[in-house]
Amino acid sequence: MAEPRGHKEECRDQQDNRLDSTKEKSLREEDHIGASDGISPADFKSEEGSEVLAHLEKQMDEDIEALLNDQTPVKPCHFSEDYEKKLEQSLTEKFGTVQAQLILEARRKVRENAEQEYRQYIMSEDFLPSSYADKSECNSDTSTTEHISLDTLHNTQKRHAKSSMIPMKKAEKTSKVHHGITSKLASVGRSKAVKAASVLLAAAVLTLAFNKDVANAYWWEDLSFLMENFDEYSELDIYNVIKHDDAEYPDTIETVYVPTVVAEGYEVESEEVLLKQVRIVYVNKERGTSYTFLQETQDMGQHINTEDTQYKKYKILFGDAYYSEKMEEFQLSWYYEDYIFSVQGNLELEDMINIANSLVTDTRGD
Amino acid sequence: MRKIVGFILIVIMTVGMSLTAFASVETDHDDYNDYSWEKEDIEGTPSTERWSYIARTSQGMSITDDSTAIMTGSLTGYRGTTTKVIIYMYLQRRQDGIWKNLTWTKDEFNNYYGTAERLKYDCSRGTYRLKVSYYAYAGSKYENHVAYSATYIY
Repeated sequence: MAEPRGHKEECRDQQDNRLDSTKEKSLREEDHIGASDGISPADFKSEEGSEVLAHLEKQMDEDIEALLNDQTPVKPCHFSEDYEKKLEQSLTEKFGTVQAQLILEARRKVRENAEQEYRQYIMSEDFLPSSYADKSECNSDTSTTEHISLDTLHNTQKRHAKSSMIPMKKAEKTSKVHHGITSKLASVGRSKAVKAASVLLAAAVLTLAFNKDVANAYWWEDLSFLMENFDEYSELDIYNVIKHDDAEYPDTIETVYVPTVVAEGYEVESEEVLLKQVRIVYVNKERGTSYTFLQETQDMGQHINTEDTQYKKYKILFGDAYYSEKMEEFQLSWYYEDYIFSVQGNLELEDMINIANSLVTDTRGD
Repeated sequence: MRKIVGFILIVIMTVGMSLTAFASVETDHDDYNDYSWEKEDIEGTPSTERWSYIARTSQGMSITDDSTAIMTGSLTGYRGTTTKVIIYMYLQRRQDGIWKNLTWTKDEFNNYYGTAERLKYDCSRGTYRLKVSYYAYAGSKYENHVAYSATYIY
């Protein structure tokens, strides 16, 4: 895969710097807490309390280090109402109503901050070409359904491929968690600090743990592909019958997704953003091969050749993906956030999965 | 005993008739539109192989709140093999138990892939579907694949 190693290392350096600055900031805040209360760390009422606090701080640092070293992309994802209810119920059973609500509130704040930062980041000039940002502002004023320029999509994609955005976002999110914990410590005072830290640490850990679980669980929670196998081909249809008044999914492309990873040796040949489909075609001119990325609305039924074809199911970041293979042509199809996606062409399965895992979003018309 | 046997027979017959009726709903047998002109319009010779020039198709339709139908048909063939794509789309409305064509479109792409997207304004309330007839060429030979969207109740 065409992954710019130089940039990756550069981003890792930025993460390390960010981590250092976060630590410094946290230390300064804790110093400030001690100074304002007239209490030093040595004034803890019991050795046990200081040990617990030290243990928590160490655990937090280890947790943050582990997160920063984890290169698995974290995608913004939404949670079903059913899942939210189950989570609240589960937390209440484990921690009681008060602590459960504290955890959920902390979780909401973490998510809100992360989403806000993500939105700001993807709209920033550091991330997008200025022409693209201008266009988005225009759309937000007029709520037009005008399509995103294909050139800008292409540029966006190139920038994505080079910038390794996800680890930076993760670092920001993590620093927010850490910052939230220290702020909370300041407000509740020393005697309650240990309890608050425990709750908030649990919130951070649970948030991250559940995020991962939900990303994988989304598929089977909210979708059932109706799959019919025929002799010659397979149909993948989410719906057989659609009632206009009951349809809750977007029947036109409202959120455009672009893969940030481009297979090695390939470049974009064409891009189309239509009402029900986004199509990006990549070619390898030297080899004369190509592959296609498609994003389609849920009402687009898929017909895929399965004659003499191996057909399997694989896990990707967004859930299960269907993979078919015939001669040197491969297809991977999956569902995420109301849309059907597919990658099809002369690619290895591993490359397809890497491409599938690299999707990022941008909205138009907001 | 006779009553039980009679009851079972009635159940079997009822279920059987229901299944027969159900099976007859969404088939080509309720599409009496004339498509012979489409075949006459197509040049070249049909391929004897199946799925040789077509890797994937996708098709769908919806109707907006302001009564505009969006019809989309998309085909992806094989680079180096598929040379041309022709997509016929028929917007059909259910009337008197059969599907009647309201309009049709033809789009041609000199490439190994193509997506046709068309709008039809002022659609009245009713039950619709999109029938798409794909032609993928490799030189003068072609392969035809017919696909339907989900039934759309507006």
